[in-house]
Amino acid sequence: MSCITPEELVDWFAGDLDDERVDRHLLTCDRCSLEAQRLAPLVNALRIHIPQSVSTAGLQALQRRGWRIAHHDVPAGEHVHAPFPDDADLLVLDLKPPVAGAARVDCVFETSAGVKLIELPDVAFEADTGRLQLACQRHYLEIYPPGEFKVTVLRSDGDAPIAVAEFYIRHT
Amino acid sequence: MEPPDDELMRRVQAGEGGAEALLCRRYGPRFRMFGLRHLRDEAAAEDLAQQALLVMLQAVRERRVESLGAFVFGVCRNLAAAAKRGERRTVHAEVELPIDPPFDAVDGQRLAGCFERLPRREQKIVTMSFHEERSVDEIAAALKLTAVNARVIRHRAIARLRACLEGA
Repeated sequence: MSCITPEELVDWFAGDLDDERVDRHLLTCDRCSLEAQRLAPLVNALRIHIPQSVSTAGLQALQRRGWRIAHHDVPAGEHVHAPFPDDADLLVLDLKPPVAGAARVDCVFETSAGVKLIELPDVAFEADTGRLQLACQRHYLEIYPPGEFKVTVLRSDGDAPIAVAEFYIRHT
Repeated sequence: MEPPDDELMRRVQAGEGGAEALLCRRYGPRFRMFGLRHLRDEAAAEDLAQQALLVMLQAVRERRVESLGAFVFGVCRNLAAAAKRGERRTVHAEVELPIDPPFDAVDGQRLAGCFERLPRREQKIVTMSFHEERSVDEIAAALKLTAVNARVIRHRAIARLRACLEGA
């Protein structure tokens, strides 16, 4: 078998090139195995690179890899305390804004004093139910100041985005 | 120039010091890479690498291997299948296996910065491929692309990320 192209190597790591000849070649060819070993750390990092809005498929993949995931329901308009559980690797804030069927959904995070923390354009959400899952990682506690923050959810249906819900979350 | 597999196997069988270590250094990272591809988890890949090295060394010492390439492929494939079925085999190492340390980890914050610089469509395809483990056909259908186009975009995104991480 001839050497694997860079494109094929990406396909192989992504699981889209399922061919025993490629597996065998990558175990035995010095040049190709070295190239694959160079790419492996990035692939591994991308598998655990968790976006701030996560899909159910992404959460299921993390669970298959042994991640412990805690969920916290956050009703719109209410002030919710969502502590990071000691026995969890990831805390998911479960939001249900009225965005079912939207073409696009954006989120804006602000402190309680109105200081903008972060904007998340075009986030993942469930188009049929409008469910939106925000992923909090433990190290966020070091990045973002403790206290309450507001999440404004905006929906777009091909025109200008409109704010449709606000969520208030205190993280500790 | 490192000795070929056949010569290394003969040296292992002759009890030559250092030959087993050379074999482990050659194949340990390859087994780990195979584990990462098929098990998609770093710890599981490390287990597979350790187990495969033990099986390989034992078989070479006992002169049960004709073609090392074919042999290690069969071992890795069987170990990956067992791991996917949830079977965990206990590793009984007689000695400390001289496997190189795991791959250098990518700095998470640096990766996040590079990822943010990707066009949004490339971000989506990379996330759906590697984080959500979706097939390229599923991704193409979700984003209204052809599978060929999704593959090209994914490859371009990976190339951009590598260049960014390497500071190019």
